[in-house]
Amino acid sequence: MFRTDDGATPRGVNAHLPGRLLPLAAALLTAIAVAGCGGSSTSSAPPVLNVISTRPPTTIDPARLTDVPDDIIGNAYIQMTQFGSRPGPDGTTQIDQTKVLPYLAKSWTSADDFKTWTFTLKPGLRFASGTPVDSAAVKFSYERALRFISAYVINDGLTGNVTQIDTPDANTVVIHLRQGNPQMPNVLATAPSSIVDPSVTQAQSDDYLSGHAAGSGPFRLAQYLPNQLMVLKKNPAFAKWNGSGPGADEIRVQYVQSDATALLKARSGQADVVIGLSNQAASSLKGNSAVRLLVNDTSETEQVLLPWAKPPFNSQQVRQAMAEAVPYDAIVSSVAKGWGRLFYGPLNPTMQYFDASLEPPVETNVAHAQQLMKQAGVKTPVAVTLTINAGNPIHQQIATLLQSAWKQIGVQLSVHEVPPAQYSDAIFGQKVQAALRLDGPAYDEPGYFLGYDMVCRQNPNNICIPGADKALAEARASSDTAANTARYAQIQKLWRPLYPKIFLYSAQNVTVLSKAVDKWQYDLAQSMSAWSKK
Amino acid sequence: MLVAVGILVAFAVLAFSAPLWYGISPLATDPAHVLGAPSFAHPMGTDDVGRDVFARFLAGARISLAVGLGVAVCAGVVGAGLGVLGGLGSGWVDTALSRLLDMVLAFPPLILAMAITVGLGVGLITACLGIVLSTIPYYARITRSDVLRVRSAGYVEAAVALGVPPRRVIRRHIVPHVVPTILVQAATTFSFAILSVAGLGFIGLGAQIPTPEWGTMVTEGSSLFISGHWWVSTFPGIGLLIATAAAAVAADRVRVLADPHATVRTTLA
Amino acid sequence: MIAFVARRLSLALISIVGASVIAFVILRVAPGDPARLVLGQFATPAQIAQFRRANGLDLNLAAQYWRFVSRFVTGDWGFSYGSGVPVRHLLISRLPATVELALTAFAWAAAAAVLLALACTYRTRPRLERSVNAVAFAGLAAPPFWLALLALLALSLKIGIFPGPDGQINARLAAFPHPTGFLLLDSLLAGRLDAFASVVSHLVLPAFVLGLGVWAYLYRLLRANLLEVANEPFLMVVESKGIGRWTTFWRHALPNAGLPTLTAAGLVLAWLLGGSVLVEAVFDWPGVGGLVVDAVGQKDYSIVQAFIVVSAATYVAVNFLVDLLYGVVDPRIRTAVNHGAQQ
Repeated sequence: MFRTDDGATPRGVNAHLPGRLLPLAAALLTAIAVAGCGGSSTSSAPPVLNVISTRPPTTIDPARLTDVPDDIIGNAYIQMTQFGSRPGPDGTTQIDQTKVLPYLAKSWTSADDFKTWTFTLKPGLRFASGTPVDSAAVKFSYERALRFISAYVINDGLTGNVTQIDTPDANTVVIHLRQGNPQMPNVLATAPSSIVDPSVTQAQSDDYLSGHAAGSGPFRLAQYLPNQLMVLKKNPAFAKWNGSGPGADEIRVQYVQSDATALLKARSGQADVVIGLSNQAASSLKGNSAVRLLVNDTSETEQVLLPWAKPPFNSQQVRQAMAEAVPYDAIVSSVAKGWGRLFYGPLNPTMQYFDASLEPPVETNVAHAQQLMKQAGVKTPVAVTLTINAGNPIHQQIATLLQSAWKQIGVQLSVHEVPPAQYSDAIFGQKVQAALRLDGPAYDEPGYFLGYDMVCRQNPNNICIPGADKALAEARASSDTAANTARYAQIQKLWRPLYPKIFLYSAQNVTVLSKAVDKWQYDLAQSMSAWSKK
Repeated sequence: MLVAVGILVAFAVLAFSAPLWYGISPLATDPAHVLGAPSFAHPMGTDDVGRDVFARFLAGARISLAVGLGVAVCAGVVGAGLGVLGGLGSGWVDTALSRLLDMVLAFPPLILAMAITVGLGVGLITACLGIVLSTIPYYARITRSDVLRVRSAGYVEAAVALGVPPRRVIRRHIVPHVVPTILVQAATTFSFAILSVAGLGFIGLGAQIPTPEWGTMVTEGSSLFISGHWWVSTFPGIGLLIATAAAAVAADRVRVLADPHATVRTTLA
Repeated sequence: MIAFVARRLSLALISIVGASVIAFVILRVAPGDPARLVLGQFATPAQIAQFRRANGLDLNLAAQYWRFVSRFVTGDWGFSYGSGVPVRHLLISRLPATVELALTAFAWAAAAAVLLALACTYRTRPRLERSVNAVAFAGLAAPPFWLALLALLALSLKIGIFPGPDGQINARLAAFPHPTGFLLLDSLLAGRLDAFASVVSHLVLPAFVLGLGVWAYLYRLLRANLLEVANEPFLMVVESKGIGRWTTFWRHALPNAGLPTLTAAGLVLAWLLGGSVLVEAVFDWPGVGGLVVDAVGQKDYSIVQAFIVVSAATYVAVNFLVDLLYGVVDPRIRTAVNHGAQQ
């Protein structure tokens, strides 16, 4: 066969067809693009507050909340009490968990031994179903939570502490505790202590509340697409009962999958509030005049677990050596972009009773660390496996820096990235040699925190300091602030010399706000009543 | 084109000889010089923990080239073999093989590789294994359809009728027709393998810290890209682009050379 | 014909069951306990045991598999603890987005591949051919994730023709009924042309990025096969019979060359329908890709199991279609199949 390349028109198909189609296609595309891009019709509807978050909840059932992002559902429910606020950065406010204010309960009293608490409810609030929010609803909600994981929070970490809940009348709730706990009102302000609608909950399966809300809070859950979207709309019944409602009529929380996407949305001004942006991405917005960066202290700490049960961490000298070899300043500046606070001690700097003089940061001293390793008599190089949660860039960066740092003291670190199910199992099931963890209590009362972070046989790090446990138990049973200050000081003094684990830094949370946001309040549990938009 | 092969060879030589002529280690962190733009000291800049990107680029070249080649060859050999078996074999062999391949193909490739990595332990080797297993059926299926097409061609029947032994029939009549498709597939698999390892790295199931691997470097650098630090993601991305494009061109050339009827024809006329 | 279909259906079932068994075994065998992830740090041993019991995790593998199958066929696809909603509800709400994106990407990629392969081999066009080839090689090699970011930065942020990573549609225009879940269809059915335009503009970038690799692959495959066929003696015979060039191409060359490409197209379509995680993540597309990947890591068995069954069924359906088309395209295979069926 020969090539007939003589320029003659080929038989049959119109060889110029592609050429003709192109301009038409271009015109069509442009028209569509312009139409799609313009898009917004001006309406007189109240402004919607657009929130972007990278941390979606895994469940919205108050009885089964496991992690901080889940607490967002607290906005759709009411609790017995609520936390107060204190001033925050740049004209905003932040939640103060040491201040407890009336909410559903207008007042409360307790016996001197703090074992019996009587709450008087403010009547008149009803769920959407018409069921009144009364003592029966409270009893139902708490007993339900006590059957599931939220029992830990309701009991304030003291297993089985709530023994009985009585409802002498529709507006009185009496809670009996096995062990006196002055912190009870604080506990009842948390999201796991939400009051759910008994009639709706009982009519459905146990799993219903994991994906639906049955509450009576400042907002109602208008739409929920798991891992995608949560729309909260003002609840008029609540506003009427409470005298005032939330600042925003509608809040749309969009969950995005990647940090890059969140950053793009922050930059384009599509988002009023961006939560969960990585420090790296947020730092790139520093010069941007369209947004405000708000930095709040949190009780979440990046830490290295060094379980005492696993060699070589059963030696205090090894632990101290590893703590002293860490380049803290470098980590805070390069990984946290400066948004981290250094400290070393059992209490996080945001907690009550934290004493900076008793918890100064560890000074990086590689030479001393090397000496300690020799003294410990450990044969170097020591192989250590550090487990980190997969897909977490901060952990990846920290692990890499630790790898280089610890090489200097003869510790050969191999980093093991594992998927989430394996990670949780590894840490809580105590199956790791060492692990990186970002952890902090959603409810940052020191007694609650140390209850799971320090008490013998109750923490993943195998920390056991009997003297400290005793002081903690006493502090939790007492409401005497002066005495407690002394007790917590003792705990701090006992804890530090043992170098139980390594605290890298207390994470500061960065939120990005657009200029349209008028009022904003920081809460790790993401309560949004105080937010409003111009 | 010799250019394409030349590029690949140059890459390989540069990459594997790197420790000899480039002093900076790909693992050396330097927190004081995080995210430095390209400069004389660091020709490709530094990444988010201060490591030199050029050093990691070269080390990553070693790994990515090895991964791409290894997966393409392993999967190709096994897959094509299965495909020939299925295409030439009797009815039930073909059916059984097809069913087995279908079961594996029914998985989206990333999910199968993920499941295998999660099951056997996370790391580069298991990631490659997972990708090989998920790519084999593609080779097998495409080879099988090619073999079926060729098998029904007259000259194969003629050869069999003439008493030519099966092995020779395969070697001289089937293989040359099957090779072009396999080569095209191999070029695709080369890039697919590297990108899949990168995808797994995105979820934390690929190359483990601190191994430099082009794909993981691209995904790690993605949000840095948006915030203006373009070099962490761009250079490995370009490396990927050039390497896989060169591989594709080279495979294309080999295909033409391997075709027994190859002439300079480039149209159907 | 009925025998053919029946046989294919039974084989299809084997594929689906086989795939689900493979997934089942690999997931169960992998280390990690979903109970700990779902219940958190403060779970008591009693609560963990209760969770395992409620999810059948205390049974042996065979019993667990039977439990899954017997419930699946009645419509109970399990509960997703990572999302807090039943699995069937979750998959049904998220699959259409992935399918819509996949079909769009496939449509343009396949059409462009055929058109360009045709254009480049029908007549000598060395310049066009060289440039198309170059783009094809680049398209094969570019990481889709990286390309997506580049496209977003260049075309959306800098130039602003296309919307950013905003999902499928401008949220303000989304308030109309979605009976099918396919927004292109639903917006037309609801008569909302503005919504339709928004959906199309949101589809352009992701479909382009996703389809580029597909186009490059199919184009190169088809072109390779066409060139090979061009060298076959039978074409010379056909043309010497006086049959016109276009008819030669359309009725003789293309069918012969098209078979491996058809197979590949089927595989690619099935792959696309399985969801492309990374591209979906960049564009914040509400599809199944990210959902399933998270589920594997979280050992949210129910989602992965259900997804594997759905994806296997899709794959089987697509291949059935391809096999039917085989018969249409190549009569020799039709005869061979019939002979094989008669054995």
